Amino acid sequence: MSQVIIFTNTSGNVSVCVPTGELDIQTVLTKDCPAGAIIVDSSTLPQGTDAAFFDSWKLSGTTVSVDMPTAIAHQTKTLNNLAYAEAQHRSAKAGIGLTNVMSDADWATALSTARAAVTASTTTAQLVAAIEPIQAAITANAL
Amino acid sequence: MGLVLSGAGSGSIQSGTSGVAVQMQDSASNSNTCQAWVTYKSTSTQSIRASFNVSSVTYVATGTYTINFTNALPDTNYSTVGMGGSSSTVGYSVLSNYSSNLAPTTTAFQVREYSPGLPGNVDTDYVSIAVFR
Repeated sequence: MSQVIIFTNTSGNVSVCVPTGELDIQTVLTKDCPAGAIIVDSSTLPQGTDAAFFDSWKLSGTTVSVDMPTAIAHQTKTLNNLAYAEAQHRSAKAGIGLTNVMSDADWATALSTARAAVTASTTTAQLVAAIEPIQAAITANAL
Repeated sequence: MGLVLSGAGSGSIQSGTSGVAVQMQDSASNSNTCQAWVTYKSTSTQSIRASFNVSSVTYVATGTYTINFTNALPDTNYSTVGMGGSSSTVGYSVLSNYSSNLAPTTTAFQVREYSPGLPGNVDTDYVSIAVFR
């Protein structure tokens, strides 16, 4: 397994430094990383859906894990960005005489359901699943 | 015609006593050449495919990476070019070589990756960056 260097960055999140192999990892640790950075096997980093929530990773000792409150906040922001873009799209479709696939009432219900699902999530897999119906509805309503 | 070696990693092929027909430069200390390049994957399991004069890539946040040089550049007046792309929702991206967190230095610069139409920064499967000076 490959080794990487991890540390908590100035934003409070985890940075992952991946050596290219031009220099040995100890040299990279000294040259490219702040004091306190540690070398770990890349297989110990969060995998699967946890890997997709990189901005929610937290380092405790030598263990990196997803901070769920932070992940929920990120997914809520993602959902809001999707909803905002789709609101503009739905308005534009109506403006040129096209009917949206989902009624305004059903769209509002779907958004409300997704928001509740995001908030109630206890795993990143649930966070991903929570917004999938919204992503599918947006795809179905595309021109 | 003759081969003139002028230092470690550089030399020229000269015709007669006047002109330089071909100049070879492979040292990061030479100018007007590619000083560094790297190609890597920024999504999920980050990995580096290949590089020259890049010791590491630090993944700071989604769509934000620090490129660290193996050998420092002579100054910060270098030019960077890059592109990114993915087969998923991020079709293509554009790169900025400046972040409010880190102005370019002789040893590193930070890249931010955006995709038109998508909010915030993005990660993509294929990111390629080259540095000229």
